[in-house]
Amino acid sequence: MKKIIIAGTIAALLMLGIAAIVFRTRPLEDRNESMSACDRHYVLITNGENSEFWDRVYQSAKAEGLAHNVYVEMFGSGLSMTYSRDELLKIARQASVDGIIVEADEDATTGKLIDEIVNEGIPVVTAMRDCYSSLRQSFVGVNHYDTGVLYGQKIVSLLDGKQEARVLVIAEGKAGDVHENLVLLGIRETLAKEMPNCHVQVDSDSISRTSSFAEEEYYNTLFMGEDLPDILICQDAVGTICAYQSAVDHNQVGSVDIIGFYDSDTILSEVQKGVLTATLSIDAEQAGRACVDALEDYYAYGYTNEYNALSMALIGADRAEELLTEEVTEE
Amino acid sequence: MKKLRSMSLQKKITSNVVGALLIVLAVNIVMMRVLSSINLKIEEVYTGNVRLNELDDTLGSLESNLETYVRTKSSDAMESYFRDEQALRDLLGGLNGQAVDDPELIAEKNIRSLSETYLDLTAQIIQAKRGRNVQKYAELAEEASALGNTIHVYIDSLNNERFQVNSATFGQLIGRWRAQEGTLQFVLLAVMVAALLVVIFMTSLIIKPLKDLASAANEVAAGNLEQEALPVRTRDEIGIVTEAFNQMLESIRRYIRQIRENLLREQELRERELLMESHLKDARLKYLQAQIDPHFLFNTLNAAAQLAMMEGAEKTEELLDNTAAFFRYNVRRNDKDTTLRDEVGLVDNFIFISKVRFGDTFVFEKNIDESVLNIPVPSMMLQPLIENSFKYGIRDLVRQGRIELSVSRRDGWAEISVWDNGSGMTEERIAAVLSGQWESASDDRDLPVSNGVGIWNVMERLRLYFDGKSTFEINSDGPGTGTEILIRIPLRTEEE
Repeated sequence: MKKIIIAGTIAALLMLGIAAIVFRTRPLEDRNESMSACDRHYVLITNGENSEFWDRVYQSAKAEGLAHNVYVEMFGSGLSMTYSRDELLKIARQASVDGIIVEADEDATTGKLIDEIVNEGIPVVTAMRDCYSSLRQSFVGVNHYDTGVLYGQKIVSLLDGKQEARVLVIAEGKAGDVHENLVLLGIRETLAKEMPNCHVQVDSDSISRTSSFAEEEYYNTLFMGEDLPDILICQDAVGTICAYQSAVDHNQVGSVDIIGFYDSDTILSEVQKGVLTATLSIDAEQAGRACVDALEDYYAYGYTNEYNALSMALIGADRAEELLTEEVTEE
Repeated sequence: MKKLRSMSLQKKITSNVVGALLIVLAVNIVMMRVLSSINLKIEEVYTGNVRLNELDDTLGSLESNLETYVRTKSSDAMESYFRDEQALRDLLGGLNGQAVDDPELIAEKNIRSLSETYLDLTAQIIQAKRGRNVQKYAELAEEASALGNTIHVYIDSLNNERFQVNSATFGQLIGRWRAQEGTLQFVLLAVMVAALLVVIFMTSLIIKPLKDLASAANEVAAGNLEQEALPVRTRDEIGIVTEAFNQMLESIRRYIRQIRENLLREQELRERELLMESHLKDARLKYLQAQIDPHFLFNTLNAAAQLAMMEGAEKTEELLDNTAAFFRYNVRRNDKDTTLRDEVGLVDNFIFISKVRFGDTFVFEKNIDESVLNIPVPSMMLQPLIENSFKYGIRDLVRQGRIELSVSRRDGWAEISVWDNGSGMTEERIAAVLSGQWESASDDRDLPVSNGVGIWNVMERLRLYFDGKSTFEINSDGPGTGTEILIRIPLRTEEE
């Protein structure tokens, strides 16, 4: 018995030794093991704006893509050099990707590029901003006229019977763009309908994005000047942040009603505090999913819906508080 | 287990050592493989970067050669371009070309696709250059240059990304290497201890029977034969020796038992013989005592001698004196030492009595060296020999019998010879008498007197008295040739 115990102890010691070696020599996790091959490779190209909104759109598109065994790449990110949208479109074409989601506009060069790409057999879906004149397969975004109506209704409620006011709409793209015109049309028609005798001046302006800090400079200049509008409408997330920050910096909070864009926590927080009067919320997840689904439909059936509308809503202080509370509860 | 027990000692020790060495060897091999795998991984870490750098360099070289060719249409530049193109295609073959769920591999795919597009463009440029289509190759060259730059950007970006990841992996590997070092040292130590324990354990198993055997052998050497047989557990050399030891011990015990039994039996026999002899002597004594009271006989013989003297019968007186003297000697000296002189005197008495009885039928002569008469001898030594000469030698002779007694000194010995010219003895009879198998009849009634002491008795007493240094010979040339009894006694005994 004693001998068996001694032999057992020695054997256990040896086993422990071997086990220790094996345990300590587990191979490094192979990164390639967690990946899987995909059927197609789509790219998402934005208009140079790396905002939180587009990041959510991309994450949603990526998740939807993986569900269809497709890899969606945020094209141009992670490169040591920044490329413009059109350059990225060209590179995507040269890289022979399987599908392109692009934040376009009515720029002729962009339209021409899209046409070339489509002609080479690569489907293109425009997101948020359309290039209607191009051969793109589908557009995913909001109805800009409806957006204008929504803004108009908000302006009416803000004026609260006041007959004179100045509204400044900052265009996301170029001033005079079809989208901007539709937005302005929606606002004006709503005001004419709701307040037929009022004298509300609705102006439009655009920011020349010659540098990455052009927006901040624009809003800083705006709030420094004396010709401040009564209501300021920003149509992009970065512009919204720059606008309310400038208002705070120049102590103009309350003197201008700022209607922002996007529902990030930061923006909602400012809405809740009253720095922003309201913010336009567009469902980014829905946008991402719809873009991928449009490309998948094209591959599955050879065609797809030319227009995929996204839902939107204006969020006031009360709703912003609710949303922030919900997020805290969920966390 | 059975096989292990039947293994030879050499095989056991060899397998023990080989087993321990194999354990250590196995652990060393595992350790070396572990370290080798980490080394390989460390080597692999930056392989991707090296490959991308190579790709970047090759692309740069290709661009340079293309530019030279477009400018100069040089054959050398053309040749170098094609060499680079092939090299670039080979390198591109190592990049991922599939859509996969991995940003790095997607970047590889982009580089590969862009490079393939670039190579198509360069091929078109060369074609246009050959066709002298200046406008086309100028446009294509511009496009190719932009695309080449893009590819460089993609390669640089991926290289940076990979370098960051690889740096993290490298740090992880170095950390693991250090952790592994400690573990391996501990494991090696543990395995060495385990191997040592195995060797000690196995050796003790092999040596234990040998220790038991040595202990048992010590016990036997100390005289303790009564111990249990050692257990034989193995069939090796130790097992065989143990078994032989057990058998040897059992044999020794058996022999000792047999010797003890034999001694007891012999002792018993001797005691019985002594008892019988004692009884016999006792019986004889009682018999003689029953026959006559010797003192009464001496007194009677003395009274008769005085009467014969008063009556003037001198011969009768002398006879009675001699007879009385003979019996007195017998009674007094039968169990005591005496001298040769007294023994010769007794022989004179016996001869006188025998002369009266048998007259001149025999002649007695003696030749005595007086210088040796004082040596001590056992009593009743000579007279039985003279009586024997009468009884078996000359009694039945037709011619006159002759008995000669001589006592002489020779070479440090006293020689006593009793010779007769009687019937002699055969060699068989001499041998029988000397071995004690032949006894004379002690109750011969024809003899004048007899003390009942035979030749063998005299011979034995001489041997005991002189501690085996005396000799006793019976010489005869056969029947009718007479007999001589020759006794040699060492004179040294006398001097001592």
